[in-house]
Order: sequence, then structure tokens, then C-alpha cells
Amino acid sequence: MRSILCPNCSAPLEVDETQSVVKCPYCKVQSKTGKKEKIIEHFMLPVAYDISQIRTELVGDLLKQPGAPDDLHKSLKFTKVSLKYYPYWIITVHNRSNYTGNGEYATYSWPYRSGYRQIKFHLKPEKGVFDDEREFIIFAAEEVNQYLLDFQIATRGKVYYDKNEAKKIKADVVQSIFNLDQAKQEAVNSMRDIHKGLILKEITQIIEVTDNPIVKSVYQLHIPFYFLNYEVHGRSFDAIMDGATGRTVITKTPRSASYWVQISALSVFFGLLCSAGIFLAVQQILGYFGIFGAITGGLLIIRTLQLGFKRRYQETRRSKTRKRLFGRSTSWY
Amino acid sequence: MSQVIGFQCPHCNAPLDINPEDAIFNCEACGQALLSDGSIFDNHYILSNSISKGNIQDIVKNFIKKKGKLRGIKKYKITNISPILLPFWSVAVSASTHYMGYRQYTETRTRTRRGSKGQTITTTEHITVYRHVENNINEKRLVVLIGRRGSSMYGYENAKEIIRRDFNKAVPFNHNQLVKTEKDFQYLSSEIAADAANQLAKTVVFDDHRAQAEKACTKVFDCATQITFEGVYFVHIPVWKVDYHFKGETYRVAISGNTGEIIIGEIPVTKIFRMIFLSLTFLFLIGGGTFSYFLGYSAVATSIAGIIVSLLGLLTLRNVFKPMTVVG
Repeated sequence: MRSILCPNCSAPLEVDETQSVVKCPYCKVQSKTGKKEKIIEHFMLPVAYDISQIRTELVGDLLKQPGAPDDLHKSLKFTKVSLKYYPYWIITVHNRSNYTGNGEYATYSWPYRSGYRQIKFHLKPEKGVFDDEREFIIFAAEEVNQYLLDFQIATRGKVYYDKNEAKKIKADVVQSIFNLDQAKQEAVNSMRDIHKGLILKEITQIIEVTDNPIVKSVYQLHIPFYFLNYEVHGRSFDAIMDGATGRTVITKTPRSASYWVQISALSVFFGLLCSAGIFLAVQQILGYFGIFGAITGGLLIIRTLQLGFKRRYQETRRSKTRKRLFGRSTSWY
Repeated sequence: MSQVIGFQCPHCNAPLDINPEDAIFNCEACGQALLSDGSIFDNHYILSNSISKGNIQDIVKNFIKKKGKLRGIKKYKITNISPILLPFWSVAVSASTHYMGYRQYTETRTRTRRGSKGQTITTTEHITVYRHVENNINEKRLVVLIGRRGSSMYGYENAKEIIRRDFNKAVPFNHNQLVKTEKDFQYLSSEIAADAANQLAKTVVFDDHRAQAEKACTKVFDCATQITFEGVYFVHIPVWKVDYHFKGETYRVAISGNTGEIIIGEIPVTKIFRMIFLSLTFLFLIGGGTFSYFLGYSAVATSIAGIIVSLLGLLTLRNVFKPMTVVG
């Protein structure tokens, strides 16, 4: 504990050693206490959805799926519920990479119409700079959960991290596998990978790269997720839901018996159409008429099975190109 | 203690309620935008709100009527209307890129010659050719970035388009005006600071120009971009987020408060809708089948009919199985 005076009304204020902001009880002015150099910014998202609200969200999403049992509001029963806080790091990195190496250029010969028939590649010394800033979200739990990795996280409404808040609602907190320095290093590595990829687009042989990565901002965020096991008419399913925004990370979808009857009927129909078509085409009955049936029946049965058996539902998903570009970490822009 | 800094508005001196999320914030008393170090930020604009709660019913009704045909949606109920001011950064940049590379493509040559017995022989050759590509991309553009990390709010990402299109209609953010036209709105500030927005905008343009260069060439040898910033603006746009219930399920619609247009919206897929598209699949089958029956002598005609009907079927079956329609 130490004492300071409010800069606005001079009232004495008591401040904890680790506290970075204090609000004066008299004049309501908030002040920075100047003790911020060692504080790691660590936030959490409050659990805004209790278990009954999460159930409503889940049932709502499931009922929109074709063939969901109509009585899902009543028949869905949770068998196991656990709430876990997962760690993410949100890091902005600026990097300036100077590179030298050998880049390609081409000479052309044997003109032909609008171009040349022959191309020859040569190398020439080349140097350049990449200078940019990118943001990374790093999923920092030890166990890699693909669905949590793909989930578009929200950061709105975050509050300062408080272990007791999690304890109060009986939530487990998954610790970050990275400490502050490691997380920064992870982001810096991702940034370097991006720059290396860019450099290799400009030159084919790298001779030297000097860079200067600077971490512009960093904070850790714990996000609450519900891990649910539930039963519908004696069958078990599982789901992950975002406890802060109520969105569905992933769930399997229960279907009614009549749905399966319809899918089977449709598949059998297309299957028969396909086989009949093949038979007619092979036997040369009605000329080539059978080809039509073989093609449509074959393609449509595949489509029916593909759509009809789709079990997973994800409300948000990171785009595939982003993932391909940036791998485990991601950038928003 | 000299290092204590008080958070007070430099414009009107009122105490400021600061929030760990915000990189830019507004004085609750006078609305002045301030940077996190307490200095005044003047480039704050807004696309004013022009609709009221009363209009929402009509807008949603029209939306469902127009986009929700063939579904028999009659009894739906609006359950929640939440107006919110969403923050964006709009960065004006002028960018020029010079790129160089080569392009590989095919030239087709058809030659006709006379054979030994006097008949004509036609040969077609495909020849691979290369061409040097060197070009400049010069543009001035407005890069719009969302002001928050993660775009989990409904319609947030899609509203960028509105700013890109209508930024010239934006007016300076004015607190007094706000109290009149946007008083019901929840105000959301930006988590991203102005200089970070500049940097991120630069990355957007840079990545985009490189992608353009890569599209124009088979391989890019060199690609360099120069960027000058011409202004950074903090822009708010009013969005009405509406939830409506249909058969016990909730669907969402985001409406631009500036123009009343739908930014993005969900429409239920009903049993009737699924049946219509399933019937369509069968109709196409019958149509294609009849066609093939009469043209059974041609393998090409029946194959083409089969492929066309299958492609149509892939689309109609998709409509049969999808959970809902998203428009926007």
C-alpha cells in the first residue's frame, strides 16, 4: 500500500502496489499511478451466458438444421458440462527486414506471335526492404483443439483477469504454455516467417537478412468455453460453446428418425437411377439415353450423402486462405 | 507524486471514465474524441442515423417479403432491437506499385496443308510462349478497417462496404447532434489506435497489390510498393441489430441506420422451401430425361443434359439442406 494525492482534488488515495489505475471516490477522476512498467496486460471475458442460456443458444442453432427433432427444447439433456478458460495472446508486431541476395530476371528469344518461345532465367544481385505491421492471435493452450484454433474469437467486453472470478463460477483455467517473452517470441517468429516468405518471392537466394522486430502491443486474454456432452433420445452428442458471446464453436447435429428415412429414400432413388442408367447405356437400349441417368444419379447421390450426412456445425470459421498463409497464428487484416 | 496523471477531458474538464479496451475514447460530457495519452483527436466523423425504431418493423417486413419468397413466412415477431454505433478507421492512402515478371500462356496454331493424295490435312498445335510483364499500379484509395479486434458483432465486417461507398457523406462527429439523432445508440469505441490503423492499412494495400501482381504474372520477379498516407479518420456508423423470432428460433438482421439498407440478414429456411427445391430437382430430372430420351442417338447430347441437370441439382439440393439463408 502507498498513498498518493488525487491530481484533481488533492484527496488522499490509497493504492495497491500493482494497481495501475485508481479512481478518486470524491471527484470520480481516474488517475494513472505511474507503476505500469512491469504489469503484463492480462484480461478475461466474463461468462455472459449461464448454462440455461447456453442451452437455448445451442438448441436454437440445432433446430435450424434440417431434420432436427422438433421436440429438442424438451428432449436435449446435458450429461456433462464443464467450463474452461482458454488462453490466447493478442500481439501486434512491427518488422523491418533488409535483405540482400540474388533475384531472378529473364531474357527471351525466338519471337512468336505475341510472345517468345524461349525463356532463360538469370540471377542478379538484389536488395530490398519489407516494412510492415501485423497482428497475431496465438492460441496458447497445451492441448491443440482445432475447433478453438479455427474459431473467430471476440475481445469485446474484456475485464482485467481475476483468478477468483473463474473460481466463483467453477471454471477451470487453462494456463498459457507461453510466458510473456515466449509469446512475444512466437509472434516475432510468425512475423519473420511471413517476411521470409515475402523475401523468397523477391529473390531466390538469400545472402543476408537483417531485421528489427518490435512488439508494439501485447496482451493475454482468457476466453471461457463450455464443453458439453448431451443426449437426445438416447444418443450422445458433444458441443463447444463460447461462454462470452453464446456462439457455437462446434456441435454435432441430432437428427430425427424420419430424416434418415428421407435421406435413405432419396439416396436409394438416385442410386437406382444411376444403376439403371449404366445398365441401359451398356446394353445400348434406347441409344445413349442411359448416360443421362448414370451421370445425374451418380452425382446427385454423392451430393445427397455429402449434405445429408454432414454432422458438424460451426458458426464462425476463419478463412482457409488466412490459415494457409499464416498457419497457427493468424492476422486479421 | 508527480507521476500521477489525472484523466480529465482537456476540452471540458469533466472526469473521464477510461476503459482498458479503448485506444481512443470520447468524453461522456462533451463527446470530444481523445487519444489514450489524453490529447485531442479531431478527425472523428459519423454517418448520421436517419431511421427510428418505428421504421424497423417496415424494413424487416420488406426484407422478409422480398428475400424470403417461397417460404410461407408469416408469423414472425421482432424480439430485440439494439442500436449501436460501430467504430471504423478509414485511412486514405495513395499507393504506387511497380512490378515485373513474366507470363506463360499458349498460342494455338492451325495449319492446313495438302496431303500426298491431294486431300487437306488440318493440324492444330499448342505452343507455349512467354512474355515479359512490367506494370504500375497507381491508386488513391480509402482503406476501411474495423476498430475492434475480432469482428464478432453481427454485420460488423460487412458494414465496411458502406463506409467505403458513403464516406463522403460522413459529417464531423458532434455531441449535440448525437443527442438528437443517435441518443438510443450504444457507443462503442476503437481498440486500435490511429497509428496502428495506419500501419495495418499499409499492410492491406501492400498485400493487395502483391496479389494483383501475382495474378498478372506467372512469376513475379520484383514488386515494390510506395505508400503515402493522406489522412486517417475515425468513423462511426449507426447499425440497428434486430432479432426476430420465427417458429421459436431467433434470426438476426443488421440494418444501416444511415440509409436503412440491410447490411446482412438471416432468413429462415422452412419445410415448404425445402420441398420446393426438392421438387425442382425432380422437375429438372424429368425435363432432362425427356430431352435425353428423344436425343438418345447422341452420346454427346445425353452427357451434356446429364451434366447440366446434375449441376442444377447440386445447387437445388444445397438449398434443401441448408440451415438458413444469409443475405448480404
